[in-house]
Amino acid sequence: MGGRPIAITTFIAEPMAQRRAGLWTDAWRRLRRNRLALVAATYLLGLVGVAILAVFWTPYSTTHQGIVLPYQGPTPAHPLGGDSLGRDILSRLMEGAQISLLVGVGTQVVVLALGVPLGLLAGYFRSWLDAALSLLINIFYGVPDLLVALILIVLLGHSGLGQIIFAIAVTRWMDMARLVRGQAMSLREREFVEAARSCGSGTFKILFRHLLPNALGPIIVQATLGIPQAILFEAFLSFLGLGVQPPTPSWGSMAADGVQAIRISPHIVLAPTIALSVTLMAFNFVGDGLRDALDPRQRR
Amino acid sequence: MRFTWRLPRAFCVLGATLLVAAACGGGGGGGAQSQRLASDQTLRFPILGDFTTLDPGRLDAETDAEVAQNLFDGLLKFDDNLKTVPDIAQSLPDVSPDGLTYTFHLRHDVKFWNGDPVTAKDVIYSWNRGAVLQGSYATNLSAIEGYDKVSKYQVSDLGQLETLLENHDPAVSMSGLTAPDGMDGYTVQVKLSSPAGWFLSAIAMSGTTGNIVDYKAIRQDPNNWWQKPDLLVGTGPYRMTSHVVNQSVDFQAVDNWWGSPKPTVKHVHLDIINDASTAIAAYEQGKYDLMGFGGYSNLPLADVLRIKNNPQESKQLLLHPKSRSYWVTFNLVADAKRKAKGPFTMDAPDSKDLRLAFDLAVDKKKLVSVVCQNVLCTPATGGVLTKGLKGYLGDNQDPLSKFDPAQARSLLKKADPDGSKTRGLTYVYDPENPLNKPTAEFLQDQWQTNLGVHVDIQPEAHKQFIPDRLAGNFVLSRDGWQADYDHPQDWFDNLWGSKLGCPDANCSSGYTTPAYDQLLKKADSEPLSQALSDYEKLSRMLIDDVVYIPLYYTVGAFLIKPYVKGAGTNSQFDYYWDGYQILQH
Amino acid sequence: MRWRGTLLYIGQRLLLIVFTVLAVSSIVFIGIHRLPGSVFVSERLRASQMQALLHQYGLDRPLWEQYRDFLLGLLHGDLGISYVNQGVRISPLVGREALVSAEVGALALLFTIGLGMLLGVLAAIRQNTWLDYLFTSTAVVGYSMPNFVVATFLLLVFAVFLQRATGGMLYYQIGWTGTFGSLGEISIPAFALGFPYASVVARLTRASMLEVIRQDYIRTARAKGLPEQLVIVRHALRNALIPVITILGPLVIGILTGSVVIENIFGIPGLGKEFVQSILNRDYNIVVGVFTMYAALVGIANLLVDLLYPLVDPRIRY
Repeated sequence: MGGRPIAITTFIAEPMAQRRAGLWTDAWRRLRRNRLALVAATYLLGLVGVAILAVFWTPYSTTHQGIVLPYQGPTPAHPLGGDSLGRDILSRLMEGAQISLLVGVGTQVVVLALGVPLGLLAGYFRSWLDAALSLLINIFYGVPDLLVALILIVLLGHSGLGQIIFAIAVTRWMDMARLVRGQAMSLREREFVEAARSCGSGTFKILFRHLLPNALGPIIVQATLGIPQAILFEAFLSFLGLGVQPPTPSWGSMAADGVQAIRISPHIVLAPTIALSVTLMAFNFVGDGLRDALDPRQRR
Repeated sequence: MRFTWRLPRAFCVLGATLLVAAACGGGGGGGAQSQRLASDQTLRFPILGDFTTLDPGRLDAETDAEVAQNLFDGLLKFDDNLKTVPDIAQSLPDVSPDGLTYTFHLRHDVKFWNGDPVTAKDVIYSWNRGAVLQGSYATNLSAIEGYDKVSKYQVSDLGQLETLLENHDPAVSMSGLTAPDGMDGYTVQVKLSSPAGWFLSAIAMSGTTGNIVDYKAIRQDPNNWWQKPDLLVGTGPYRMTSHVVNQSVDFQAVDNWWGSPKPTVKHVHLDIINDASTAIAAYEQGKYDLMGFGGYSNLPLADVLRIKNNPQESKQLLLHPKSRSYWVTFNLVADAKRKAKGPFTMDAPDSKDLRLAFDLAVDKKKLVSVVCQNVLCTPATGGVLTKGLKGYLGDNQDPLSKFDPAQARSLLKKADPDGSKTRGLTYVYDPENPLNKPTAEFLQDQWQTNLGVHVDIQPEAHKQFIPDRLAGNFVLSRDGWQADYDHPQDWFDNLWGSKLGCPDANCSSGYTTPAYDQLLKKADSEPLSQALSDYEKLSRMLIDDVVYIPLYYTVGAFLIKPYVKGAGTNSQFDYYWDGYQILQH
Repeated sequence: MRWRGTLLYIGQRLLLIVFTVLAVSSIVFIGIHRLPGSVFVSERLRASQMQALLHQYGLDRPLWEQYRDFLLGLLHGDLGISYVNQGVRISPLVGREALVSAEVGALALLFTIGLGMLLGVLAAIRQNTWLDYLFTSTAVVGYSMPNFVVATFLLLVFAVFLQRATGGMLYYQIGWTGTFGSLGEISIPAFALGFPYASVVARLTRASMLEVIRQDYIRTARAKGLPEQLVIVRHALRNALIPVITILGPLVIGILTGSVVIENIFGIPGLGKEFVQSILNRDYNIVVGVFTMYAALVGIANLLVDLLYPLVDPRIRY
């Protein structure tokens, strides 16, 4: 890692609070200047709001069939039209936001839970822990992610949201583990760690109070950028018939159902696809923005 | 990208039309389909999945049968209009007055395509083989004396089985099958163990057990003979010439075929394309001559609607009812083997009212209009047997097909006042057919809206769904049946009753009553004209006990290019290929 | 000798591949047999008939016995027979399908890298112009839509609309002839397969090109008076290639996964088409065969990718 924008008075372990303040306020300042990331972040917050709203209210029922003429295009009463069973697309889109967000964020939570501890342990302790982890990572890389997800979903029983999140996370944790491992390996050589050790700090204290906060930046970026992939994977599983089960609408399953009618009623597949597209782009922009903001090598 | 320098096709038509127009001096007559035969008599169409097998002794899937019916023949067959006519037999069999003995006189000119003649030995061999192999349709032969013993024979080595069959070993030979004129003769006598009015219908079924196969070919590779073009030997007008698994199959017309009509189409080419919409797009591109044939008439609704609304293409669309019914089945029995229980079991108090409540709460007409757009299915108002079949009760004759939410609610309140019985219910279905999922969602919506009961819907892969359902592992399930031949026995023997194995084996609903069994036995032994009223009584029994919720009868969708003559379908199968012709186009 | 290290490395990796393939096969074998449901299933099949069938195929033997026979067969490269397409030998079937998938996948990879790098380079040298924004946004859009939507859309455009628009002169013909298909038949599916990932490559190339262009040795090259094109191609591009090679591994896996969708939609007789059907069909041996092939393909592809590194970056050595 390049030089940190902190004064190098580190023969004494500085209080974490002060150092953190320096890094994060700088980052925040840079992020604020990134218009695209700000717009994207605002959109995402709005989306979360819509998802929460949909728990209590949607314009029409999301499961009641025949309230619109099936395959009907957008009308003033139903701005996004009706799907193949005559359900209101706008309402289903709103509820679908919940699933997409839950899958996206939930997957990353599990990825963090799996990848961070493993990566920290491997990177800090090296030796056989590191070799074992590397072997594990290589094996998981050698197995196509579809296979792992498929087997897990089938073995864990009918695909509920939890199973899907876990199955997707199991195929994605390796990148996070490798990243954290790399961070741990480079950070352990740093002076503040040595200082902490010489002060007699316990291992876990070093890992979680000193190493982790410094590695947090890239970890957050990686997690944010991993969300779009997870959401797309759920769409893929829906296409195969393994995604969230009906009648719960997810954008992926709405797209999978709608793609069959693409020639007579393109709006059925366009609505969830555009929603997916914009949301995924937003996550990408925010992730990029975070990366630029936290990367001290940027000369901006 | 394809540079169609063969594009001249478009120019050819244009040029030819201009020439004709010029020669005829303008005026009408442009664009009418030529009636002359094309020089390239090759028929091409896609199927959505490869065969399981083409061995008549093991056939089960619709695709397999649709193809095999052109490769093999039986003693009798259903013609394109579903009339029972003799095939390898000269005429319909002589039946003894007690209805136990059928004597078939075979034609003398029937040959396999490799030249081997067909004699009594081949018929007896084929039927015994079918009984031993215990494919899904071996039960077609179950009325024959000796079947019970032979069907229990444990096969472990197919090669050894071949030897036993050819030598007419008693362990694998049904005692009811004899050849009065000797094995090289042309007479086959069949003795039944008890009278069965359905026997002729069962053996006339095309492309299945009962079709005649050539032991001289099979013995050369008992395990895989049907995969090899030289060994897939039948008496039909076509034979297989190549098979690239999961990709394509080719068939060639047999020279000097003994039957009629003599095939005009010389070459049939099938491509295997998984996605129905893609196959339809390829058909529209001009790559295929037919669509929906070969057992894949459940085309996606969106494509059918699109084609229907296109004035030019809609002429190529053929919608034809299929003999297939769909209904919801309740778990009616809970015992040591059937553990799923549920509130609908017949021994539970008020369960009939509960079943009736769930039945009346479903708006069947709305179901058909929303899920099928009134195109791919019609409401099932005349009982479980599909409209058009013998045994159909008549339009609107099934009281279970009514929709009465008010009565449904009052029945529910009576049967389940505190709602405890109807908590945690699940309806199981398999996404195999594109209509199953929307139907499940619709049912869930109806029960929620009209009854206030929440039912979970759960998809299961077909291969898991069927064994689970047959074992009674469900509370509410999708159910359905496709008629194999036009005789009510096909339904009543295979869906309910202790002869089938109810309640613990082979039985979805678990339904059986002594009255049902007794009446069924009587009906099965009578000739059809007498039996019809008994079968109708059986239908009424099912209705009185509220054994099912009727949903719809399906309609098959087919696409036929205007230059293909003679192609079509009835409610059971596609017309035989030997009647098709490709006109110039 | 320089080569000794490389050979040793290749040897190690091959061993790892064999180990992974064996592990995957075994896990899948046991897993698929444990799945509820049976391969011989039909609405008409009576329980006694199913038992007879299971017995005929030896599927009612204890699992360890079947596993032992399976391993023995696997060591001879024999994956057994299919139960759904009764009697079909699986090894030749899966082998042929693997070739088809590899063919489409390789072409897709070419598209991805070629198109992606082209877009990335153009965007980088015209940074912050409208061209840059156009390319980057096209790239991002392709990357954030579900691949089955993109595939269906492309199929419609090239097979249906193009045919109508050019009156049948130029269009993509759906289908697959022979074992290897024709160039026209492969091109559109390969494009559909590679397109979503082209955007990833484009972004990466653009970012690394931007970084490289700022370097001193580029300034030196320019100062020497070399033509701009030479500067870009010879010096900048070579170094920008490195990060692309880094993601080649995940790229290959992504293309393999994507092929499941693409092959289904375009009707291509490859592994992807076989994949989901065989699981749904509980056709035990084919499932194991497909997964084995996948594991082998992925392992070999990863190995090839790792062997590419030294070619591009001489600092890396094995």
